Amino acid sequence: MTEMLANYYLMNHKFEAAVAELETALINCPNSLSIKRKLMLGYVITDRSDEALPLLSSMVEDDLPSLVGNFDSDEVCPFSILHEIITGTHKSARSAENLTKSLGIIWLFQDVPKSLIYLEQAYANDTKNVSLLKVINMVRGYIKESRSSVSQSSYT
Amino acid sequence: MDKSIEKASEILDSLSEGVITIDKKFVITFINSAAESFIGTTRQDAIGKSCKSICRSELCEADCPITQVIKSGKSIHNFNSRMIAKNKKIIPVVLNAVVLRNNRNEPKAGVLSFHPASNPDSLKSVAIPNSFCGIIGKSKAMLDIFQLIREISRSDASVLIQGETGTGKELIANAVHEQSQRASNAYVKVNCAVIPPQLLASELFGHTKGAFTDAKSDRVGRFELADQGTIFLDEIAEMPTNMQTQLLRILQNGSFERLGDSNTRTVNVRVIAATNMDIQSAIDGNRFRNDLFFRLNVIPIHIPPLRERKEDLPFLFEHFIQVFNQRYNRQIEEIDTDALDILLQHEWPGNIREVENVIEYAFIRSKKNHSICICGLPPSLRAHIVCKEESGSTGIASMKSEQLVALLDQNNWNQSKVADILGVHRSTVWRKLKSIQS
Repeated sequence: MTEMLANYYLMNHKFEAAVAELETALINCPNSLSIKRKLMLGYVITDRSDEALPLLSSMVEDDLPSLVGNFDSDEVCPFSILHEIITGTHKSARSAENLTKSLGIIWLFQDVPKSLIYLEQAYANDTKNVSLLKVINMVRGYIKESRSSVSQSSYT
Repeated sequence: MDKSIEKASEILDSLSEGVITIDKKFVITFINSAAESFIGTTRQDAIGKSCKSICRSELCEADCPITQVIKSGKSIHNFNSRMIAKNKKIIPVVLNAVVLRNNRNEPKAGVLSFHPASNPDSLKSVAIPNSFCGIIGKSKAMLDIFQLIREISRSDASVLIQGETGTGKELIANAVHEQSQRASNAYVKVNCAVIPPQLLASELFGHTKGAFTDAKSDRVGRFELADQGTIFLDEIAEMPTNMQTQLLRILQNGSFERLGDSNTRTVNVRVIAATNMDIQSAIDGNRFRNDLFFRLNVIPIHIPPLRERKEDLPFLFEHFIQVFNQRYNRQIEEIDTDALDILLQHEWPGNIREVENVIEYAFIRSKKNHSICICGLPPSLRAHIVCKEESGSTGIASMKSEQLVALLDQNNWNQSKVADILGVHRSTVWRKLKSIQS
């Protein structure tokens, strides 16, 4: 229903409830990047990575550079906690494919090349996943662009 | 500081009522002098911290007043609650909560105002007919449990409550605490199943700054919060075995260390634990320590499932009818004979929680103004029996938008739960909601 209520659920690790709130909040506020991001992470944490991918894809398409390194600005769902939960408690419940997909998604906010490695691993096991391929292509483009701008600036 | 903000702060500081404001992320943005003094904190210390780390009420994780306001859309006035001051003293408070909204009417901040309750007795359970501490039951099995709780009121021994899901284990735990000599001290609840195992140690015993990646400051654990009071460990059988060892130690001599701290601390806490699992098979399967079981099981309480005490059903129906009459502003007085027959024959595998859900469903679906008829019962209960009142389609499609929104409101907008209540798939609820919104 509201992002604030979802924040409360996220803080208290009630992820299913948070996802339900965020799904409705996104209907009411479809352009909110903060809601999109939390919902996407909610999907990842509740082992619904395939539902997270279209959201990620749209965010990457809109503005990938603004996502990178901007994770902990949202303290209700810090990266370290998210990473611990995905690789700890839920690890056994998740399939290996979903685990790499989940790690690929969350690392995108921290370390793009590392994220690409996970995403490519996930794609190797799920080659029909169009959303995943779309994200991979955009991430590859972003890395290529970053490298060329770095090398250009080193010549000037 | 902006002059208008400075002026507002001065005004708020002059009030005898404590005032705390929080932002969308439940982080404290302001605390007035009275609140500082009630809680024993300073503005410098509180601002920027999450409100639950400062207020430390048992409601913080269960159903905080601000979230209640968001869900109901109505401000809360004169609500009895408790906070835990920095010196660990429990402060019974009467609080008001309001939510500030942006121009799209979405909550953006919250304001809590409170003062210490003059009459701590106001915290006692509201008297409910045919009940003991809010637990409804007149069957011999339940009366025996109530008697046992009275008998152990002077004891500090550990209690292990066992019972199927939905039998009211938490209410029994509340009653044990309320009747005990520790009733005016802290009562802290922890659900061991919902806290990720790697965070459980930090939750229970606290941590020091830098103990792990996210430990940005020292944190008091639940056992310290419950010092001199009671801790309720729900779903204890879900606790990882390595944590069980630490729990055993605290049960034996009350000592523990915060994560990352070498100082041994001591607390005096009474432990009440509960589980819906067959703990004996958990012991046999080496998932639960035998010695911990014996430490906890000093006073065992087994809550029988509802199918073994069907004489309690009429009292439960009556109670939930009163609850939902108030919530939905209806005047339901009774259950029709045919519907009552079905309800009494049902085995209630979900126990009291299922009774609550079925009566709520009946309130939404019943066609009569003053009674619940068969058409109001969930399809799984009424099976092939057709109600005379029922005409045409009564599926979710024929539901009015206000009815659906009311039902969603009552269930925290949990579409899965509403789908369960209506006996439809979650996506059907979502589609209906979307059609209403468009």
